Amino acid sequence: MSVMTPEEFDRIVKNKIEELTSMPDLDYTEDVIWQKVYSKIKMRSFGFPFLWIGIFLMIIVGLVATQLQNNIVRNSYNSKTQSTMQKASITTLKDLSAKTIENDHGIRQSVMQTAVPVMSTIIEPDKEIVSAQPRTTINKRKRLVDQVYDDYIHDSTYAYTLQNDSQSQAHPLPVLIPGHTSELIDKMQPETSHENYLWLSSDRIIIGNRWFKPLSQRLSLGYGLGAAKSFYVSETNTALSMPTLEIPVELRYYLIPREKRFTAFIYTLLNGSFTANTSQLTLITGAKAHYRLWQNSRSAAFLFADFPMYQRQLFPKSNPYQQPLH
Amino acid sequence: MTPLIFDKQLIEKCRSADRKAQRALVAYFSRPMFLHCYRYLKDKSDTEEVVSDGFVKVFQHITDVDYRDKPSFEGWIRRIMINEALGFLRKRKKLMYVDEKEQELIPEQLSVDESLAAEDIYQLILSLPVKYRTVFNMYAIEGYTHQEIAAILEITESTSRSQLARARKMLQELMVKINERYDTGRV
Repeated sequence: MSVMTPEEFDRIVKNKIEELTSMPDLDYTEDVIWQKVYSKIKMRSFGFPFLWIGIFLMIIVGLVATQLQNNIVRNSYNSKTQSTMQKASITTLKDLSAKTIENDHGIRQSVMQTAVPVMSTIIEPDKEIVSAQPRTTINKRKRLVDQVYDDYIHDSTYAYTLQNDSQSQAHPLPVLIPGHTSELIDKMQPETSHENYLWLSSDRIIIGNRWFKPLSQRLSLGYGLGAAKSFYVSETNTALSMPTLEIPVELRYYLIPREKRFTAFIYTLLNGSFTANTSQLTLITGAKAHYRLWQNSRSAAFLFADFPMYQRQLFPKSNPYQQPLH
Repeated sequence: MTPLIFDKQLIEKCRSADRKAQRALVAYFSRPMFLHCYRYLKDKSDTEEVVSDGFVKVFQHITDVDYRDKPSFEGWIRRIMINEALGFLRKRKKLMYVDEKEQELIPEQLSVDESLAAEDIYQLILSLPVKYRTVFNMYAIEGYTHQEIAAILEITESTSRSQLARARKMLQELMVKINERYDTGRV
């Protein structure tokens, strides 16, 4: 090696660098760059309005759901109550005709036993709610139930205790839920990612897929379809399971950019659950952390920790006269 | 598979925001631009971000640029990419220089074994500290003057000169070491 001027040194180094067209050590694909470019172009074009449209839609959905819970659920509950009362009183009459009734106390006991599934948890025995006349019984009971139900609806503390705590306490503290999510990226529409997920918790298995559309650099809107199986123990200590169809709509705000290997985001999830007999709409807010285990140009696999902080059943409201399932 | 054909028509289509054309342009230039930016950033994920940001700027301003020939167009893209990389480093506060006086420069005794592979020299540049590497890349590879470097990095010209001299010296030492390893068969 001969001694040379700094300019010659620079020129030789520059020529060497310029002749380099690829680096075998660098695992690089054009697709990754294009996906990022495409999503950034889309976001710059549409991100800002989409952000506000997304927020606006979520607010509208929330308001509509709140309105529904105040009207439809109440009507539904009242009709259920009336129907149950009628059944109870008819049965009571049968019981009354079959037995020799000596006093009011005996009648009340009989009616109470007949109406156990609905009434036993709420109607206190001290209250005079039953008479020997069936029609009067129904009316009195209905009035009482309506009154209690109104209290339940309007007394937020009571409503919260009955309706929400049983569910919130399913996850009273942040929990680590093991699961797997894999993400597929559509080559032609890389701004939309398609997520397959499998989540396991102590009482649920959920499997499904969701599509996520970024609304801005930090905000994503997701929607999808899933199937869940919930496990619980009945009042008779029998292990039961219930399959559910789930339709989630989720809004995510990324605290750490979504491209990073470790990301965290807060989310608001509106989840529609449908079983053979019931349907319900649940609002969940919380935070999740994702760790990307693996990625190539088309897909990625994640492990995540879920921290559901608040959960509220919007529609239908839980029947305050029923015990929570677990 | 997108055909890697670059011509004026492709630029025209990119100007009208044709997605396929944009994708073809990215496919055509992303590899060399990735290598240029990686030489500054030395991090794959950061480089992907910077290169993609750079291409977004390219598509935003492609209507403003007069296309003459491929080398000048490639030079324009490269300038955008380098500016993005430098902006990224500044944002991450990785380019905090201390002003130095010119008389502290180290006397230079330089030599290069021209048989060294391009990949080796690229790796040696990557192993320089980020401040040395940035000034060396800008001056020796990109062809900026000390005045321009001083203005871009917000340092004095003498700081730029001393950083460059140190970068050359360190690179020289690394080249000698790698040559020794080649000679002893350890590489």
